[in-house]
Amino acid sequence: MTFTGRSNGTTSRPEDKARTQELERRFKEQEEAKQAGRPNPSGFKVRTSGQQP
Amino acid sequence: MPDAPLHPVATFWLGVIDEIIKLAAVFIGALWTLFNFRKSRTYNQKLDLEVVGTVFIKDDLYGDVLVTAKNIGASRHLVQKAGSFIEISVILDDLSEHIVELFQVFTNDESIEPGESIKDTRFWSIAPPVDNIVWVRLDLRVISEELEWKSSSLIRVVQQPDNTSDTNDLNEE
Repeated sequence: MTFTGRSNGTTSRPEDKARTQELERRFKEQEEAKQAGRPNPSGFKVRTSGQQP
Repeated sequence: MPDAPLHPVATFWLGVIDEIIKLAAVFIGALWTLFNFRKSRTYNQKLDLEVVGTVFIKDDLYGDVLVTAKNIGASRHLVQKAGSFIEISVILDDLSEHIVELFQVFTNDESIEPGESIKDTRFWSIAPPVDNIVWVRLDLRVISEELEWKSSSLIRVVQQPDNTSDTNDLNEE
C-alpha cells in the first residue's frame, strides 16, 4: 500500500541564520557518519539515493 | 454684444488655480500608483513551494519526495545552497519524533526566473523494524536572499499485514 502526502501552503520570513548554521552542521555530521560507516543518529538504518547498500 | 473681457487680475488667478489643480492631479496620481505598486508587491520575492512525498512498505519502508519551487513574482530568485534542505522525520506510535535524514535540495540551480519552476527528487529507505512508524513528515526550507521559505507535508503510514499495490492518497499540510 502506498501513501502520499502533499503540501498546500508556503510561508516566508526573514532567514533564521542560527537555524541555517544548525542544519549545515547536522548535514555535515550526517555525511561524515555515512562516510565513516557510523549508524544514523536517529537509531534507524537509513539508506538514501546514491548510497551504496 | 461681445463678452466683456475678464478682469486681468481674475485671469491671472484663474490660471494659477488651473495650474495648481493640474499639479495636484499629477501628484495624487503618482501617489496612487506608488501605493498600488507597494501594495501589490509586484517586484518582491514570491515563491510557491510544493512537497509531494510517497511512502510504501516492501520489507523496508521506502520513500520518495518531489519538491518544486515556482517563482510567482516578477523578479529573479537566487537559490542559496546553505540552509536549503528537505528534512525527513518519522513520528512513532509513542508520538516521539526523530529526524532521520537531511537532503540538500536544488543543488543544480542557481536562480529561478519569473514564472519558472525548479524540481528535485530524493529517495530513501528505512530498514526494519518500521512497524512503530505512524507518520513521516517532510519539511522543506529554501533560502533566497535573506528570506526563508517553508512548506511541509505529513504522510500517514498505515501498517498492513500484506503489502498490496493499493494506493491511498492523503492531502495534508
